[in-house]
Amino acid sequence: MPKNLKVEDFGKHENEQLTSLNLQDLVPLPPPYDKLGDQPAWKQIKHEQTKEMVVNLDGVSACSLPKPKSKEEENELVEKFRAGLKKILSKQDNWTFQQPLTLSLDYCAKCQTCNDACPVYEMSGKNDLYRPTLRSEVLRRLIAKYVKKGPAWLAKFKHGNIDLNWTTVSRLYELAYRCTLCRRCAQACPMGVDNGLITHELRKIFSQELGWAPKELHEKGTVQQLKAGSSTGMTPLVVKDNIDFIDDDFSQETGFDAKTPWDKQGADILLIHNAGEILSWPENVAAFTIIFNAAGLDWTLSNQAPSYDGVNYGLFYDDIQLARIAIKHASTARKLGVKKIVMGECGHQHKATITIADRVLVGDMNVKRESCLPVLEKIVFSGKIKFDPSQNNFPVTLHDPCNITRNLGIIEPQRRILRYLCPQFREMTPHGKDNYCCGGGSGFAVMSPNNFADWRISVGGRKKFKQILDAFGDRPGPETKKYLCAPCSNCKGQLRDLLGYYHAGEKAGITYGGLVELIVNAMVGIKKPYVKWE
Amino acid sequence: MFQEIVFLKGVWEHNRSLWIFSFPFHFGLYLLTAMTACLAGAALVPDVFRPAAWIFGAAGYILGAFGALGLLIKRAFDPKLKTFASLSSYFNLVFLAALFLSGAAALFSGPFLCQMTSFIRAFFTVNPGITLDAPITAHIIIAMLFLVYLPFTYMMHFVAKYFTYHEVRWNDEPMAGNAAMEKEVKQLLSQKVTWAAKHIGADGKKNWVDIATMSLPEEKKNA
Repeated sequence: MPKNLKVEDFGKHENEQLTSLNLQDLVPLPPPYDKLGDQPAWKQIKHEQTKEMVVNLDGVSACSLPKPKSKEEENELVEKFRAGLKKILSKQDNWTFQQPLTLSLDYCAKCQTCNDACPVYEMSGKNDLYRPTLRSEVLRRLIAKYVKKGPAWLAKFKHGNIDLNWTTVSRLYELAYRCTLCRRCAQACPMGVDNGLITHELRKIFSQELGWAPKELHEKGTVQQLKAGSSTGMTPLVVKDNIDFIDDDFSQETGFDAKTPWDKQGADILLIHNAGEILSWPENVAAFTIIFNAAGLDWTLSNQAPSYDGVNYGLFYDDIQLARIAIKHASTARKLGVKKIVMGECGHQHKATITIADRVLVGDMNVKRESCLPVLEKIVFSGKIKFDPSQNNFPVTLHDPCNITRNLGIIEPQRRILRYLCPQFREMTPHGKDNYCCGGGSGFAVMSPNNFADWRISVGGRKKFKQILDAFGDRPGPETKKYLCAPCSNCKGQLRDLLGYYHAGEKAGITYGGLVELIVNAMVGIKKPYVKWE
Repeated sequence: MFQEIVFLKGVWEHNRSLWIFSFPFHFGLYLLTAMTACLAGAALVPDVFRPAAWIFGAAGYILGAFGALGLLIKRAFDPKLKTFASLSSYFNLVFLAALFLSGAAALFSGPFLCQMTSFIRAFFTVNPGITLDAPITAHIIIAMLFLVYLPFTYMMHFVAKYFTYHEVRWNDEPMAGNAAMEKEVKQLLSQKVTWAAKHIGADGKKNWVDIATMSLPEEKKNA
């Protein structure tokens, strides 16, 4: 594995990979995953694919970037990138994030204190390519040399050298998708420099200027959501049918009222789920309905596109796509006259809708927005529902979604619920604001092109998997059934893949799910256990 | 923030081997700031401020020199830091080491406190007729050059820290109920959008509100 990668090499040797990854370079996992031979082999990109697709970073392709057909096309794309560099630093074009970006670019002391906070860098065996500072340093040098005024020698003296060419641009695009934007590095930085933000801004240059973004986030993500109503492709009719079915099914199964109210004018709460729950984890959707109905809340779902889907992948790569979706959500809430929007169990929805969208929701569009976690906490401790914690008497640990904990500071409500309802609750180490990303952050959970799934699980999710195994280290065997609570849809997508990849159900007895499932599982009078172990 | 600024808590927690040099370096600078304040005070009340100035100065120069030289060696030989170092990184540390070492030489070689107090008085009264020993003159010249150079470097981070440490990273102050912020945001939203990707649909006339509320433009398949 190449170490001591030089920043100036980033734009050199176009057709060569900058680094390569091998399983034996990664930080080892605890038993029963300590034998390398038992771990799945990585999918390799075929030689034929490399004729059409750029693979010049680490042998992995998240973005499937096609090779330009000619030198002219290459030059045109490089010039577009240069134009994007200028725009990202201008207040007119980037009023949303220009100030923190500039501060982060200008005041990094290059002390590398943030490095070890990054789970990707750490678990890759400290591969230089994944330093949270590398892509920022490349960008910083490009801006100094090609955007800021002043002699070239001064830029070189102050920042060092770099070349702006097709190699640099194509590698930067791919490298922008090796960071989960978990912002753990920002938390560790003594200066407050935010390398996660720099990565985010880099993705914006590619999307907003060059029209480049992974298709899972753009075409199948925000575009599909704005056109069809959901990134899942579900139209209003389909979503209504699906939820009607879920309502009937779970009413019968649990014996509780699981009937969903739709488009109720003037309700206290407009609940917006991540629509992925409806298709992949219907028990989560039903659990919310059961709890809200049992507590007597005045609430509703909306059947207006796209307000039945809280997903907003714009958060990860494109401010304008984010604004378009957020405005539609707020518009629905305003039309319904609800008192507030409550986010379902979806971390990036929390961040996008509660804080980032705040800066585009002016006037009466700025509807009150709240996380489901404090709402659930109030319900659980209100006395309106009777619980029997012994129904949850199995080991439970909590995964903290970065967007909910580190980025929004919602740490305790979910813990107070778990401490009360789950006798064998135990924390991961570290947790709360110091948590580690599941590896599916920043859109990765829905991205599996080429061999990227191997990377996001083996490298991106490695630290989280180790944490999970350690949290259940006192009872590692499959004979003890264990529950990994992850109150975030995207995190669950990643954890499903992670646990499946390592056969953690069979080998370690670990299953996963949300928080509301545990709440319903503890409700007195439920016909049969809500948490399923198969 | 106090612990972070004075003791470099983040570096202590996440990068202990750097803290060994970084803390004395920064603390040395703080002590020299205190020494300068005491020297100014000594112009008025010499008996009180001169001993304090000497203590702050001696500790500041020694700690600062140790830190600056340590950081210089670490920057030059630690592969983790070397990769990201530019010529200015080394130049800044050499400059700072010169500042601390020249200060230490001046302090321990002659009537430092007396002459520095005189210099400060002369500086503020624009009196050029002052005579100083060579080591003190050299130190003052280095210090003055450094103060001129400082604003052009990333070392201004000691100012940026007040803005970045909490405000930029975690400040999510809500707009609701903040009329001044809402007014500013409305003005920002009225700016023209110039991003060129097709899905943006910018035409040089539409502003942010137009773009964010319009129908999604048709676009060719992206990369």
